[in-house]
Amino acid sequence: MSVGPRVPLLKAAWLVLLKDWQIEWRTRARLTALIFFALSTLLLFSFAMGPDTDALRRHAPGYLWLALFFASVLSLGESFRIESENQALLGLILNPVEPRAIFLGKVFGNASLLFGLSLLLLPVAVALYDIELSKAPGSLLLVLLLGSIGISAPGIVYSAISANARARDVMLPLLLFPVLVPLLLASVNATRFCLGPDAQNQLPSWLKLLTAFDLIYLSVGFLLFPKVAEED
Amino acid sequence: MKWFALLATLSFASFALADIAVPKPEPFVAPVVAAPEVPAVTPTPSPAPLHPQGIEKAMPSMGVIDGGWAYVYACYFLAIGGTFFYGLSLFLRRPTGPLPGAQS
Amino acid sequence: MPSWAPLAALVVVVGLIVLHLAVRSTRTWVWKVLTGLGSLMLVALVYFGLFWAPPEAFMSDVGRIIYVHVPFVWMCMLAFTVNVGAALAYLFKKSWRTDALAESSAEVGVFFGATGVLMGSIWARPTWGVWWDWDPRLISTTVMLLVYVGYLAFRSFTEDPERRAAWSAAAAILGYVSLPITWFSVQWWNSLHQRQSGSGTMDKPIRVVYFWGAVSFLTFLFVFIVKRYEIARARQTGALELPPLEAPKGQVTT
Repeated sequence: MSVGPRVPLLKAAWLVLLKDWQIEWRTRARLTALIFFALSTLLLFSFAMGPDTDALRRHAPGYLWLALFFASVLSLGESFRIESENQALLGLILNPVEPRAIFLGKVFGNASLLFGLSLLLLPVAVALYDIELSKAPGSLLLVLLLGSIGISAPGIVYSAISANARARDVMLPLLLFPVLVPLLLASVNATRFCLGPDAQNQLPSWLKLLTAFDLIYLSVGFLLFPKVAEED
Repeated sequence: MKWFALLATLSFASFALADIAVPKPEPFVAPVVAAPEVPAVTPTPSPAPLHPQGIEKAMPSMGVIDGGWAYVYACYFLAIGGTFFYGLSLFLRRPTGPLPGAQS
Repeated sequence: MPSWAPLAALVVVVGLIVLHLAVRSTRTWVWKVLTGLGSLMLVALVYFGLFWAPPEAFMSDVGRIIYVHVPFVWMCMLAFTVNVGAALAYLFKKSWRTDALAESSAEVGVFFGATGVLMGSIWARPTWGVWWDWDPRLISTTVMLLVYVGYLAFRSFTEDPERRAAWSAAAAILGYVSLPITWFSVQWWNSLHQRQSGSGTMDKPIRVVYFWGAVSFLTFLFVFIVKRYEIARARQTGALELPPLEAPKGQVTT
């Protein structure tokens, strides 16, 4: 596929990650749009539920994660659209960059974006849904991080394959959301136990499930991505 | 080496999954089920006399659902009809002309 | 239900498909014989299920639904396993045959799954009093169905055949990996606030009818997959090769 000395995998992944961050920073307008999209989703959920504070507080974890899911579709879709516009992915592969490094870099780039977004959403969720963040802040951060990685790992593979399909905007959520069902269950429940009472100490199990989900999809994506990128 | 690390990751992940045991379900107690609302179209009387042995087996437990034949018929129609119509759709879409590989 | 039964069914179906694809002389008659056999067995299943088998212990006559419902969901899972096998085979060695097999098994699996879920919903009405319940089996089967509906939609929305083959193979593997995780997580999530629906031991006649239904739908599974495979192959050659200069009358090249 390529000639010349290869950059070590992790270093190449780091370079891809840096490149993506740089692009995000240079197109701040898109980033802002993404943030406001997620914020307005949160706001819409609270409008749809009406002013029932109790119900809002109870369902806050679900709303938070759904807002992240919807935002992730936008960010994942963008992350390969910018590559496919000028055959940039081909350029990356022809450069001595392993496809697996692209996968890792993209996954962690997207995960960091989503994680940052979720950090921005938290104070808004406090304002809208009246939740307590101070109960288990460390675990909450861990859940958000694991959840962001879990969305990105299968999401990047699906984004790479749907970037060139017709109706790609519909294709990505259609392919991605069913696969993310266990992640949604695990992260919403873990967030719920981070925010509220956890009588039976169920949080560690959900965290384990989240970790397992991340590891499985990171490994499967790592194995599959070269086959996917070959065809790009 | 890389592949080995991957295998280790995968197996660790599956161990992590296996470690979370499903909580033991409560000991199963026969629930007392109210008779379901059966639509008015329920055909045929209950063919109870056909199964003296079976009914006897079913009797000792509580909460036996009575009737509901309409649902059963609906499912069997669905099974046969679905199979038939999917087969029909395959027939209608059948390729005309020589099959690929027929010449090789 | 012995634990090796699904494996045996898988081996039988894959063996039949391989036989059908590899040995040309069997192509013309095996599927006809199996269609006839399956139809006869289906008629017999109606008799066995509706009249011969005793009512189920708790669900009484409504329990008769499982003789058609459960085989359908099993066939759906078998078809999806064939699908992921074909996808893996494609990624290891590119071949239009495995691509066509993946497409056909996914579509047949979606047919069996959709019908099975519909029957499950009908069955839930008299047993639980609702059309839809948060039963782990119902949810995870539906999610599984969604995965493969997405897969089929993706296939139909990608034009380039080579890309479609490679990408849908990747999508199939990712989707299949998600199935056990979904099953597990939904079950675990559900058991926190719902009772597990208990499955008692099965009586012998019930088990026999179960097997009978499974075998009769297994024949249809095979016939559907190979017939759908032939359609997929014909479409591929239509797409891959130039159409003949003078197309025969009435033949539409797609």
